[in-house]
Amino acid sequence: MDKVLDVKNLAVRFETEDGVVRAVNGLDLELGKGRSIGLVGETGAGKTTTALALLRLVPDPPGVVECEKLELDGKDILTMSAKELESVRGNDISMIFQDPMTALNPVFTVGEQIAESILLHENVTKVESMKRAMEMLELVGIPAERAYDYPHEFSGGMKQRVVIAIALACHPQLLIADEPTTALDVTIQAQVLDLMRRLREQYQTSLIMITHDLGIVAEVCDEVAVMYAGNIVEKGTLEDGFNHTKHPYTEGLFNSLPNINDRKAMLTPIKGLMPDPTHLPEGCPFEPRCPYAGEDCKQPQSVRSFNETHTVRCSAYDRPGFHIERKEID
Amino acid sequence: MKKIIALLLVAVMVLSLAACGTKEENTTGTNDGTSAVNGTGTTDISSTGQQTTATEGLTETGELAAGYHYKEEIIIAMADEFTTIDPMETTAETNQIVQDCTHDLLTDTNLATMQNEGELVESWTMEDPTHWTFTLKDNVTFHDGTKLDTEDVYFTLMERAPQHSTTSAYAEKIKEFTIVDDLTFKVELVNGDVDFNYVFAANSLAILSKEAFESMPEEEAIKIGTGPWMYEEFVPGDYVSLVRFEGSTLYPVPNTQRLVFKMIPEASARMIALENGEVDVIMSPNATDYARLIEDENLQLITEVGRGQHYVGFNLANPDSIVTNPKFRLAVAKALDKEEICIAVWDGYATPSTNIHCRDMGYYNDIEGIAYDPEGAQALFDELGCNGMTISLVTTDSAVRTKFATNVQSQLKKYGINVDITQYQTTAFNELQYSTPGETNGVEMFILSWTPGKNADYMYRNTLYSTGGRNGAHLNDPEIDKLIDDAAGEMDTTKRAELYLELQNKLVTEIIPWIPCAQATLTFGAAAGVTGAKIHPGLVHQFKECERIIAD
Amino acid sequence: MLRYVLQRLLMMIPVLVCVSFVVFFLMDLAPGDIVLQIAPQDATPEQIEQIREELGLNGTVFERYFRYLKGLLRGDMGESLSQKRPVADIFFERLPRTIELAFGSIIVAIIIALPLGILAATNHRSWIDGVSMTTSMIGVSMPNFWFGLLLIMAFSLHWKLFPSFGADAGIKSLILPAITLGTEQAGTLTRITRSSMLEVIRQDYLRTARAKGVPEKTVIRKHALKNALIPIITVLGSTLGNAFGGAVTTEAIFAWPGVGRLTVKAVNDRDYTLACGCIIMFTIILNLTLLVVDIAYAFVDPRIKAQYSK
Repeated sequence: MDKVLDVKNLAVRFETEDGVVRAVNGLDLELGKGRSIGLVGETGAGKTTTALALLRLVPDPPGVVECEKLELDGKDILTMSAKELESVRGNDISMIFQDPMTALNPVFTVGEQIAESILLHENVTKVESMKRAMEMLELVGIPAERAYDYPHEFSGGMKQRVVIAIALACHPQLLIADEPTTALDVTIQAQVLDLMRRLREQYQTSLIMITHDLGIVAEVCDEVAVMYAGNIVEKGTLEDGFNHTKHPYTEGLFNSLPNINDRKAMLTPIKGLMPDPTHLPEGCPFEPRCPYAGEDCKQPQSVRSFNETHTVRCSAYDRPGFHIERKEID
Repeated sequence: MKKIIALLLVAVMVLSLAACGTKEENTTGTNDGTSAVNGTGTTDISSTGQQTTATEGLTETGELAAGYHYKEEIIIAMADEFTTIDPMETTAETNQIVQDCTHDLLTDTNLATMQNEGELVESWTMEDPTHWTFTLKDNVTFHDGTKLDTEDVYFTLMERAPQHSTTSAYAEKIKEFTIVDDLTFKVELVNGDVDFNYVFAANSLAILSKEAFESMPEEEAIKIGTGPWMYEEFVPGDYVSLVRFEGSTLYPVPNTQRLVFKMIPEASARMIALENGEVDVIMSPNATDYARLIEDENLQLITEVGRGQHYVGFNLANPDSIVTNPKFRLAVAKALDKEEICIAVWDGYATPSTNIHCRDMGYYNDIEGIAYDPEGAQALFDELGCNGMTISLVTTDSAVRTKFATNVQSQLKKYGINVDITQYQTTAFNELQYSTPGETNGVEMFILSWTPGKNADYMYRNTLYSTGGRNGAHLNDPEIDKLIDDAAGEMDTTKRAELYLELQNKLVTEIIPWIPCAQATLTFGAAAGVTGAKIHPGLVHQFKECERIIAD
Repeated sequence: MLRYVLQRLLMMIPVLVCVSFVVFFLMDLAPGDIVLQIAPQDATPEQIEQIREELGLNGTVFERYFRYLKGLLRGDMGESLSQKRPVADIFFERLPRTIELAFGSIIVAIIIALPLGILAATNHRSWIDGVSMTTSMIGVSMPNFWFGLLLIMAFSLHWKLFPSFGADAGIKSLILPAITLGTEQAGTLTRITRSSMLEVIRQDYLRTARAKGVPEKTVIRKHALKNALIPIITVLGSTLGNAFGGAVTTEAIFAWPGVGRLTVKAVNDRDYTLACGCIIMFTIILNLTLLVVDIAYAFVDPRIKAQYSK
């Protein structure tokens, strides 16, 4: 299977006056063509930073990016010049961001903003690009004549669709969506997700869906990766992650979801907070909050495979007979 | 990083302050580069307005030498703004300087002799102080080609003058104007005036062409005069230009073709323009530039004793002040070292005064006045118990008055007298001194200068006569009034001289409403070859014959 | 939009009436009498009264003011007391020069300030930022006339490149005064540009642009700058408006025949009509400039345009 994305040992740190913030620590990620993966985690886990690093959009001071391998569709992103990168962004790999209200430039029409992307990457005339832009608008469910309107004349949901239109205007192979529906209400959320699904099918776009909402992952993704403190602690197919959950943190996430069938049950949050990224422990970063913590957890963790697709970072599984409480579903 | 920048900035500031300091020292030092025009100490600057004549370019007979020509255009930089060519619309000297080139008066002061002579008038006779006959010069041509005749004079004096505030007072002096023929007219005056010929020397009474006013709109007719220069162009705030009158009959046609008066308000800017060769003459250069003008062989300093009497005055109508005590005034007169004032205020470019009457005017007497006598002053001050007292002094806010006031303050300090100086803007000061007769506004001492009109009477009429319009001293002495009137009406010149001598002595040594301190030297800067730029003691400078010879 | 413009124009009238009122009464309160200034030195008290009447300076302050106001509302600013010519003539003779200098200096200010401010913002906290901020501070702190004289001494006297005074040599005359005035204006403008750009640079839509593959230079020039323009235009507008009022010190140093010197001289001479006239004209010009600025906003920011159309 062709890999659209191949990342090995990505590390991103921010060197600030108050200390070095280790946002991403040795992350590996692979994604096949046409596949979609959900990148799950709490706020501060490093999801957005990872996404920005893939596009090399991490602000240069104070951010420092180190990586063994970063390939997009076989192209080596790490060694590209600025100009080459500019032709990759928006063209081969697009990103949409969390807050649609501020993502669009208020002084240009939406049509212009979509057309700009097309003009940058394809050899067309201005008139042509505007036509294409209007087509994209129709595609995302907005009447074409609204291309001449300004962002402030659209609602939040419509703005996000425009953002999607911009991102997909040049039919990229990989789309990174950073919590695209978090700022929208639930009904709009459903529409936007549906739209993304349709477009993915139409263009065979791979997708990294960054979210903290496991429900969205279940709806939209083929695979799931759980991030904690700058690293992926569990990765696998949807089956693997949901039905054969292995990592205690993933279990904690599932336990935090309220059960619609048992209204009276108490919520069981994960106790404690994410560690301070300037002072990460040597061993497992989840150890202080883990109900299964042991002495082995204080050692640097390594990756364990359970099958072809399913990997976990948890030394507890070296203990004989260790398993978490969450039941496996076959 | 920020700290380094801050330190650098402080260092730069300190350095520039130091640099500024040294720059000033270099330029305000004592003018040791003296030539005939002495800068250090006070001297009798007895030049008569002639500046160093360039002999280069002229043959021995005064003709233009081969390889030289007259510069076509002479540019003069003025400090104030020219506003109008209409002599009746203004009393500002800046305007009159230009009008002097284009228009003429019936009579005017001859700068060389300081006597009133005919300009457009050939001769006159006074039958008695109320009856005068004047004869015009023949063959004087206006710019419009018409000949000057008595109709023009009648038009100017009796038709137009009464309508303008600057001239109506003069017109009212004439009871009846009779035209005898083309060139002769008689006037009968309301009041007898022995010096009536001086009245015609008022700049606002320049003679205009009746024919011009009949055939052209007023703005055009007003430009027509009898002078050797014709009005060309006026750009407000910028410059006014004149071209020579080729048909001039009264004067020789000027060698210069075009005269441009440019308005440059900053003295330093004028100096730079002169050094740059952008202008040929500058008015009112900074005292700090005198040395450079003298030393630079391409430039020259032109000087002339001004007719402005700079004085310290006393408000005699202030009942609460010690200034009403004649002993006090005498003490102050003895206490002030006038030579010191000349150096402090004008860098020595001034002449100390002993007499209220101006030095170059008719009926001036070189009286002894009140000599500098510090012991005598101290004795009087002690007698009056002045040690430790405070007295107020008011004046205008110009640089010269500031220096003058400060110097008086420091001189009187030696006697234990504290002088409290307040400076006012000119218009405010005028209101303080003159507007409400009888109201003295608490003024005690003041510093001012007076540049009288053309004749002796003007020295006293407005300033020290009881009902004078500029009587800031509020002098109200019937004896003095009588002396002034008698002298003005006295036909016998010997008797007149005696009266003025008596008046001067009385004022200067007995009554002391003013302590006359100095007559300042007026100056121009000019390029070395410039001639004909004449400083007029009464500030209406003359450029009719201004020219410059340059090599081809 | 048209309605908005008309509204603004109508609002100018009460403003002008207020200004004329304040100026007139303030000048009356100030001590000093123009009649004593222009009367010949040997005028008698009666003659002085006569002159006072001729000039219309008799009567109480209120009488004089209403006479003036009546004329003003008919568009007649009266005659200058010291020059005896219509105030309008005198003012409009000098206005073109002031406008020249105003535009000249704004252009210099923009050329200096905009790049400097953008550089400072894009290199926030680096040495470039420090240098450009220091430069702008120097521009503001330097006394106008001192810098002007320096320029004259260097470029007029020493290198003979430009005339040292006056406005007669066309563009050549304009350069030194424009630089003198412009550097002072550039000081404030740089700071505003920088702070405005700093605000904009943090905005999310720039991240969107970069993610689209827009080259960095274009991100700054096109996407960021247009948004940063609003405060910049505001400052430009008020700077320009003030420059129209006449840059008094610059005009004095360079003998530039503008309205600044005219106004100051008129006030000093207590030439009521001329001074009032100049100040009123200045008010009108300033208001019009601000109106143009407000309209310019509409072309830069479509949200504001929408507001005007309501």
